[in-house]
Amino acid sequence: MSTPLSRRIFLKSGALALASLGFAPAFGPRFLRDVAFAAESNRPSRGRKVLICVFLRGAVDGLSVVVPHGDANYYQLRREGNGGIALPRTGDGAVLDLDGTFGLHPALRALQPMYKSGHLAPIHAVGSPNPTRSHFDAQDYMESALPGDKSGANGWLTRALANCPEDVRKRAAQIDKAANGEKARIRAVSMTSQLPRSLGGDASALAIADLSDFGVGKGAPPAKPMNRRERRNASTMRSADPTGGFESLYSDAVGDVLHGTGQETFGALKLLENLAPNRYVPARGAVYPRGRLGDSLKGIAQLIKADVGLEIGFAEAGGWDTHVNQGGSQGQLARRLQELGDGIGALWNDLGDAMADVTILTMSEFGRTARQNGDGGTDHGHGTCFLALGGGVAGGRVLGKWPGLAPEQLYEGRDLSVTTDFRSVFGEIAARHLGVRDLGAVFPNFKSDPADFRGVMRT
Amino acid sequence: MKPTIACLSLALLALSPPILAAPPELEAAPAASAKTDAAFSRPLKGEKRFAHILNRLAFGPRPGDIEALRQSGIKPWIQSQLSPETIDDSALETRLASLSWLRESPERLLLAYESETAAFLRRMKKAEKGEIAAPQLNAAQQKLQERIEVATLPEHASVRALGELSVDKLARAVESKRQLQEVLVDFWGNHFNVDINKGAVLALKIRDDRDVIRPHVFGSFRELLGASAHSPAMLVYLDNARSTREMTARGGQKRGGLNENYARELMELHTLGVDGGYSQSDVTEVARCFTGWGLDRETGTFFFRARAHDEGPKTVLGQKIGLGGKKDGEKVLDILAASRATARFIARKLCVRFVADNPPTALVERVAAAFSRSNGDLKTTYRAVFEAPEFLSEGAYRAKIKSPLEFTVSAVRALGGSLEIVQANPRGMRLLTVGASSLNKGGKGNKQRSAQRPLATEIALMGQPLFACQPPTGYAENSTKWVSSSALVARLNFALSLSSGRVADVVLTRDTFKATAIDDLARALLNSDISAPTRATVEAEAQKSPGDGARLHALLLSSPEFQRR
Repeated sequence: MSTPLSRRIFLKSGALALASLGFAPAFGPRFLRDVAFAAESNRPSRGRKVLICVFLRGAVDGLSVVVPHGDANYYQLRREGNGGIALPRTGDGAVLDLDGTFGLHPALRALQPMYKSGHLAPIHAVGSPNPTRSHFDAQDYMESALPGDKSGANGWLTRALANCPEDVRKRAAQIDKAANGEKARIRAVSMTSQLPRSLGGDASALAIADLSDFGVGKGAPPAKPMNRRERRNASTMRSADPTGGFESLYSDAVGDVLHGTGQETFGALKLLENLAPNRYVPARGAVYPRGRLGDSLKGIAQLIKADVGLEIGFAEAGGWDTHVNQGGSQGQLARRLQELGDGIGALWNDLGDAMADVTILTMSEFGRTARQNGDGGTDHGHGTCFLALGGGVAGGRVLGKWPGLAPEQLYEGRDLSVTTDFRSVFGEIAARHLGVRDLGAVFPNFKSDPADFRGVMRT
Repeated sequence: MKPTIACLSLALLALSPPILAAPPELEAAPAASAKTDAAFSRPLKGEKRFAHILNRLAFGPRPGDIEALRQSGIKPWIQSQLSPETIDDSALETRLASLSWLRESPERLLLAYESETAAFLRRMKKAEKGEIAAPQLNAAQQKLQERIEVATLPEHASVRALGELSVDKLARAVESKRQLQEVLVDFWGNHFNVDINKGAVLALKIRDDRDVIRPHVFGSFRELLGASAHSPAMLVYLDNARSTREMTARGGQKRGGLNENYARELMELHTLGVDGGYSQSDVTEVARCFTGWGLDRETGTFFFRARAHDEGPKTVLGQKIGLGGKKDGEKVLDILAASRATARFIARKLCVRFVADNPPTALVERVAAAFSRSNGDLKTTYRAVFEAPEFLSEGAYRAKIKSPLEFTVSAVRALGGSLEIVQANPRGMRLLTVGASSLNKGGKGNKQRSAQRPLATEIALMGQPLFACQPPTGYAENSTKWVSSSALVARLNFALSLSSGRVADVVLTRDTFKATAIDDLARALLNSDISAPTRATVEAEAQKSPGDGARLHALLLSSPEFQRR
């Protein structure tokens, strides 16, 4: 038990046993970090911080994510039981109480241990100062972090990356050189088929919808039956070169978007050549939920472990626009939340000790009406709820200022009011997690005052 | 630039969610392709014009198309494309006649969907509870069950039907001689987007394509808008079928209520544009005007439920509306279709599709004026775009990056390929609609990946599944959105698969695999206009593996030039 190797083996099997009992998340990274995984060999980030953003597109009903079950008005605005969308305080499908006032949606039970261990901080009544109820404008404003400004500026994550302190960047680059020779780094990746607005304007950010499809001529399907002459002429299309010989097509130093993307793509193909995503086995028995979000989070975990220099991981999930039959502890929204909670829970388990350097932030463009509508759903609203998780998150409490749900407290008489500007959450994470010093450059037209920070990150 | 137009142009930029295009500063880099307004006043000359027109008003040239266009002359060719009834397309129509589900009644299509939903629910219940007791059906369910039994539908009928629509769309894009019509059906189908993954839209999309979009693309905007507002697919997709005045049930509880979804998107996405000058109160008032617009769940057709309609007085965009009944909604459509903001919004969207991602303001203004002057006559509006000097200019040439649909279809066309008209495999169709993620599930996923995929699945894997765009915006017209590492890798792989005959339902002639002189190849695929790196890459490859014609084709189809139109 004294050598690092044997200790690691012991701890790994120990963690597996815990996972199979369903306890692993409860003991989570704190246990892992403090006791077990000091000897883990693939410590991924070497102190480099990683931010994983999970954008819930379509406006998630924040009042169902972290339920204000202690606010009597909540049960006035929403019905319980058949056709109702309120989550009960007790009994079947009850909220998972956090602090007597708020409770997690029962479908998010995978996240409850993180709250208990002080690594999950919900931020409630967060949103944009801009009143738009258009998904598309609101997403745009949130991703540029410039509410009301349609000048098409670059994304906030792009600006955050560009403003990481010089010394940190240099140190990171030196580590990379030592570790990877002269290979390029992948600083930002979005697990989507198109680059999200948040990373817009960063020519080096990659969009990779699916790691296992990211290769040229990989797993080419068998050709149709051909005659001999055709067989002779047809290419096998396999090549020792991971870029398949296509790289020189995009070698021209033309500064347009197509060539820029081409060069980044071929660089990444070489870097990821040996990743073998199909053979990836998550650590500690972590099981990602089926579907796009689970795949995205798994891909990000894999890139973090592969030590490609990742600082930003971006994932997204749709299906939150619950105008009709939203459901309560079960149903449409519950299924989406289950996928979200299980996905983050799996990532947490999979990364283990590395979560010390990782912060996960969920976000959504706005919330939904406080009152349920005639179709057992909710319409476009205003304030919503974000979740921050990670080793450095000062969790175990619900952050933000609760505006209340009384008629006169609702925004325009219908929606949860916004008491925390989303930029102050972004700003705090940029400053205290990514190490950005000049917040003014990342959030122009917004006074990022540390005194206004909600206390998401441990200082 | 007038401020209103500036706002509108930005509004459209904002319309490309959930994810936006690479932002303008990327395009504005000092690049060979940076199109300034000056470039839009330099007319396109010579051969380039023919390829350009076929890349814009058609899904790219097929072998012989450029020659045919030169023979007929540009103006007569455009004129005939604007009158598709004058173009004989009977050969293709005959081949497509085997797609019999496309002619089914909405009633049977909807019933097919209901029957599969009922069967699915039964399976779910069984899985949950181990076994089912005799199902407790209420009267309506009982009736539905009886209708399903009488109809004797084949298994997976609604998925099959949709598969036929997808084959139909792609076959027309690849082979129809009425190319402009197909481009416009794609444009308007995308403008009035509905997502087949939302409930009964799966079944209703077929009639939406046949009866709502297709017959109206050369008519008036007001008629098209009206057809869309009545479309059962749209009424389900944007929830208007559920929007009612607040009613009181027998027990005294409230039931029903307003749903604003359609009202908002009608103004934001279909007509005025997000900066078109409407307020939250207009959204609510428009929603009230449309209460009662729904569908008959038995016949699958439009049905106005007078009882659900809110007869109170309403004000929309400052105008009082009090005609009552269904006329309230019609009046709203009149107001919206005649609005100047709508003219600009539609004009700009057409210019972005047909001219450039950032079309010159003056052009948009002229097209908007043509739209307004003709009371939204679409042919007049298209003419204003196609006859504009900016359309046939250096500024427009290769200024757009092809969408996955445009890229794949233009590649098949360039190789002279055709689509097999086969009964869609329901399994394949399901893959198409769920997109890429589910293709990579363990061993099963690997098996699927190594199998040949049909064209529709290839397009879905590139991020543009047919009829399955989830947000109501439809896919972005701003084409830089389609540029990403993921997309590029998918395109290279598609080029490899296609040129070696590995796309399941694409038929190529054997000649395609022949090694051809590079100049002939460049002429055939890129109208001879190829860059130095592309030429060098292809030449080097031709020396390395002489006789590997498929590889040379794949390289050219993967070139930056072929990604543009």
